[in-house]
Amino acid sequence: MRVNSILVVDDSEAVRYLLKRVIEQTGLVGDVIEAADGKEALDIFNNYQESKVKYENGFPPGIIFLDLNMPLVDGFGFLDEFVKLRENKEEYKDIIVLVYSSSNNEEDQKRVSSYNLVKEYIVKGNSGPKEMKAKVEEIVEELNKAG
Amino acid sequence: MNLLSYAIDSTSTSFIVINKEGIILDINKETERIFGFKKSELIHEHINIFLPDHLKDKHSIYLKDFFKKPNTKMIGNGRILTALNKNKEEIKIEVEISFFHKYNQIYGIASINNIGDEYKTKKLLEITQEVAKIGSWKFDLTTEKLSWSKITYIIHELEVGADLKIEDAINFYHEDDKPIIRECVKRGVSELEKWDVQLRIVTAKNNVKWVRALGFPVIEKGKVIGLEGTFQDVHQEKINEQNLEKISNSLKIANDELMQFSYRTSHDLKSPLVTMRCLAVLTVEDINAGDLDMAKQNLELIITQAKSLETLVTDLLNLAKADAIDDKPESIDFSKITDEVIMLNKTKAEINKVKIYCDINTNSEWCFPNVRILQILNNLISNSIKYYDENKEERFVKISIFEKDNNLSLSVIDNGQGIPFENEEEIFKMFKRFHIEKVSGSGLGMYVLKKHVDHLKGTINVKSSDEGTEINIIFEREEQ
Repeated sequence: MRVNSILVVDDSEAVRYLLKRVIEQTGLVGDVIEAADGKEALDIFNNYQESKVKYENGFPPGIIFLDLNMPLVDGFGFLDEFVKLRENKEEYKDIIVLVYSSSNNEEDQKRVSSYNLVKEYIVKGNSGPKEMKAKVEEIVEELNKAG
Repeated sequence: MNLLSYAIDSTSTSFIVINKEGIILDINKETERIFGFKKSELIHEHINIFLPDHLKDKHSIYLKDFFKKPNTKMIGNGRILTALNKNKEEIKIEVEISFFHKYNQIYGIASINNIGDEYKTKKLLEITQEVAKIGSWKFDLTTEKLSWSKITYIIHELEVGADLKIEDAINFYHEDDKPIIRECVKRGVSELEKWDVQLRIVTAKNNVKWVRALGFPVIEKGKVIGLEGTFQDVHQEKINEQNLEKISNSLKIANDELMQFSYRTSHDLKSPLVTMRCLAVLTVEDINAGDLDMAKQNLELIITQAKSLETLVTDLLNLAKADAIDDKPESIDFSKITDEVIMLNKTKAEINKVKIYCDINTNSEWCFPNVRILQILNNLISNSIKYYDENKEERFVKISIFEKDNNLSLSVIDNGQGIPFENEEEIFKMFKRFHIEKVSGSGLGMYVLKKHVDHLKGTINVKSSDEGTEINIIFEREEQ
């Protein structure tokens, strides 16, 4: 699939800003959608028609950057629900998830690896803005090529 | 020496021949062994040599009486007697005295059995059983006779020797444990199985005690003729074991909590730091590119992250304090403490346009550790102000403290955003946050509050909706 947009799910406004800026700098993606926790992100996917209109540069997103520790619905809560949601929604089947968390806890990483749609576990702070930009470029180009 | 003399020297009974004055005339080898004297040391000595001083006079009278009317008998009707050996050590003996005539003289002969070893062993066993609180029991299936040892009666707090049937014994077991012991007895008889169970009994004095009941079938010619076993009071051990289990469980909970705490703390401390570093990198880039507006935006975000970190560190310190607070209760001046909390939150309340109302009505004295009450009130009031609802024009928080039915009620009502919780327990979980817009929350405030309320043996009730939140804390007055 072609990556027209990326969804950033993180309760920290600063992290969303950082990722949005890095993604926009690549010039490869039309839109960066933001959600402040798992519940907001699920609302976006549950309201397909509304979201299609709202994010006119590309919905659904090809990639989801997902934080784990968030209020209300956390990263795992989102993954559980989203897995069910995409079973019945063809448009969501190719979406991949990149977990972007400060936690380098082994248990979290093991738990995350049980979800097939998660392609990578990126520990916040292990890469600066430059490295993150390169990573986004690499993944987007790879997905675009495959699509 | 004839054969009988050899036999007398080889027997394990001591023989002492005396004349009617009580003078020792002859002894056998066993006498030397039991009393430690050589034969030469005893011949011509008085038989009283074996007696403690206080018995000597009495014994002389007894001896006189014996020779007046000699007969064969056990001294003391078979009681265990005390004698002294050469080292003046007490030994336990059984004595039979008889007589014979020779050369027109009457002689007495004492046959003495040293039962010291057997006695000591029996006594030791009794003491051991008493110390270990182990009794025994026996049930004869043919006669249906149940026998208990002294300790078994003592464990049941029942008069020693009281007549009992097997059903009476089972009835001493706790209602919940009766089916278990019945099953043990049943299987003992039908399956020849032994049992070893720890159960509760209710003693004759109505005390509940933990006991270890062991039992096994007694088999004769392939047939069960009875049951036997031991009965041990293990109440204290069981209580200790249960206490240890409680401590172990609470340690496990504390350890899990600590693990969760260290994981979340390191995560929540690291997250804003990492973000600040990345923002700083971008700021340098923006300044180099001459884009000062972007640089300014980055710096504002860095300030937000620093504030978030500051809140977290403050809450962590409060949490540490919650466990280490000096718990000296003092009479609380609720008006004073509320004013103090209002002062702490005044600026935030003004910025967020939240009005604070106060209604305090307490007549009697309430004693609590001041810091805990201050932290409880501050937590509730600062939350009400922080999570105000911007869609509401008249924003308020109402603090109400009053007494009712010997209880103290502390309630805080606001018309803020409300807490979208599914169950009340969720609110008090460590690091649980409910408001995504307010990044400055650490998720520790309500956890700390619950710790304080639990410590003061109070209860919390939370009602919340879009209209606002009402939190009631009730403290019951402790009986003096």
